[in-house]
Amino acid sequence: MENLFSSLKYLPNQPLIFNSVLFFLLFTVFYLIYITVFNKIKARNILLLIFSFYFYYKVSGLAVILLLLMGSSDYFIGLGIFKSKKQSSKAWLLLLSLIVNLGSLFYFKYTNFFLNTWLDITQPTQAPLVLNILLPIGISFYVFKSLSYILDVYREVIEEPERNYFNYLLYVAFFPNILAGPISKARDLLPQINQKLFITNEFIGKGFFLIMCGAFKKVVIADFLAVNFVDRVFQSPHLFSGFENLMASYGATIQIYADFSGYTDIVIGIAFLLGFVVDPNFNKPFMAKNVTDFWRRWHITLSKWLNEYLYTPLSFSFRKLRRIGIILSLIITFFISGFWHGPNWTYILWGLSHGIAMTYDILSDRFRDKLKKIINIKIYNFISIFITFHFLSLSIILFKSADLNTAGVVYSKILNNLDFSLAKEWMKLYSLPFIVMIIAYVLHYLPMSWNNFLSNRYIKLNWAFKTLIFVLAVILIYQAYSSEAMPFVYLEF
Amino acid sequence: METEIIEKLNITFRKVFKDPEIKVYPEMTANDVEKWDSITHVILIAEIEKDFNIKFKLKELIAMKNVGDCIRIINEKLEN
Repeated sequence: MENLFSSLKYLPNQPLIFNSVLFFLLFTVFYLIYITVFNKIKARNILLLIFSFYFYYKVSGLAVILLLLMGSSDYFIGLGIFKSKKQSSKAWLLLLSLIVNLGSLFYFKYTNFFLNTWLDITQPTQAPLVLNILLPIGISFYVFKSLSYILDVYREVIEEPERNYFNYLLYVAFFPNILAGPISKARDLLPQINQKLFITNEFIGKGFFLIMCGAFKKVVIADFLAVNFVDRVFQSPHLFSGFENLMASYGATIQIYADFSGYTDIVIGIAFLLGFVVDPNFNKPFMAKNVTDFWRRWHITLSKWLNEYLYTPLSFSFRKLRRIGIILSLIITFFISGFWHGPNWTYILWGLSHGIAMTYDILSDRFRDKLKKIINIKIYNFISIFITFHFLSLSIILFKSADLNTAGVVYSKILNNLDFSLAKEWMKLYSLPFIVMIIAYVLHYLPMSWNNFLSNRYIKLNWAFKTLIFVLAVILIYQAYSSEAMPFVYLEF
Repeated sequence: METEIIEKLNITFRKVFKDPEIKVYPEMTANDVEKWDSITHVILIAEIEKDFNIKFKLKELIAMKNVGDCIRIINEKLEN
């Protein structure tokens, strides 16, 4: 009994994650109560709010107080902006919200980075200084969620602010997407919080189906590839050949996709079970024909957020510069996007590389139009997808590497030590990771209609079969775990 | 007035999207023009400003959901 109580408390080394047994048990208990009250909006929201705050406490400990303070502050600021008559008062309140949100994000996420960058410049011989500041998990995501509300109230995209304090807190703390998105905008999620929801047979089917898909992607593909091949290479790339480093970059590409899109599937699935619809985050990203297209398919809610609240105002203010203004706005946006992912030069360079690739898309627009007229469109599309995929795989080396030195070693191994005659031996030595990688890429490239067909067949099954398949699938998938559940990659951000 | 604006907008749209066939109509949105994305949108706005000798505000840009909204805002600016 004592064990049970202590496992319900915050344990710094064991944060509650969706792929843990404890979450599964807690969610089952919560859900049994939820389905008895979900018809009553007030009771449903109070239950969701309590569970969301408990969930966040279990993940992040006392950072739950920060979440409460930041949520409360934006609730009152939102009302203040709406009620202010003067434009200048509205602007001051907006500035206050930006200081509270971005100030907290900077303090918790970037203090050590700026401190050490400053020390590197002023006192290059001094050892790095690390202040003991714990990053509240999910802060990058809920700050963006809350800012979308304030910016929309300020720009009058939201005509009526949220008047119910608890409903606003629930929007910010909504447990399915608080840790790593999808970044729901207030104008999409708040109306759902305020209305009666229906948990239809279709929702339950979709929810179970997505949770199964997500668990499969996470456990069978992402974690397996990470533990058995990709992480080993990225931890000490100098010990591996150029060919292995190249394979690890292909592996990292699908691993990070499977990890994050698997996480997102689980989030959207859980939301469906609760009667909520959360925006999708992925749409076959490696089918992209150029990097601009990629960002319409990868982490869609983040790119939409950055497009709406950063790129659009920037490019609007630089519009007199035409194309140069657009390029400048893109580079700034992708620099910030890279930095948002983490206080590390690897992320900044990764973001910049995508900004530069999109600049190429703009500058080569006319040339590509001409090329399309000369080359057969199917061949043109295939070549475009092939080149874009290779750009993504090579740039993900920056994303995956712990520091610039590691990334440098991976690049130099691929450039100077690439020997394809090692392929056969590598496939023998890493036969299982190789097979998993192939399966993962095949599954990704399968037409969406196949996925929809399977999903629709599953939804139409009767209750008993649906539950049986779900339970069996989850048990089978978790058999694939070689060690304990691994955290999701995007929880670091 | 609206017809005049549409006629003038046709010229701007043809110039920006490099399509001499393009014809604008009030219900038209970015989904109806292949090359109309967040990148060409800014160029389009800047060209409209130049051709009509007006200046948009960011709020107006956000509120524009289709060409009809754009015509209405241009009309308001030209009347004032």
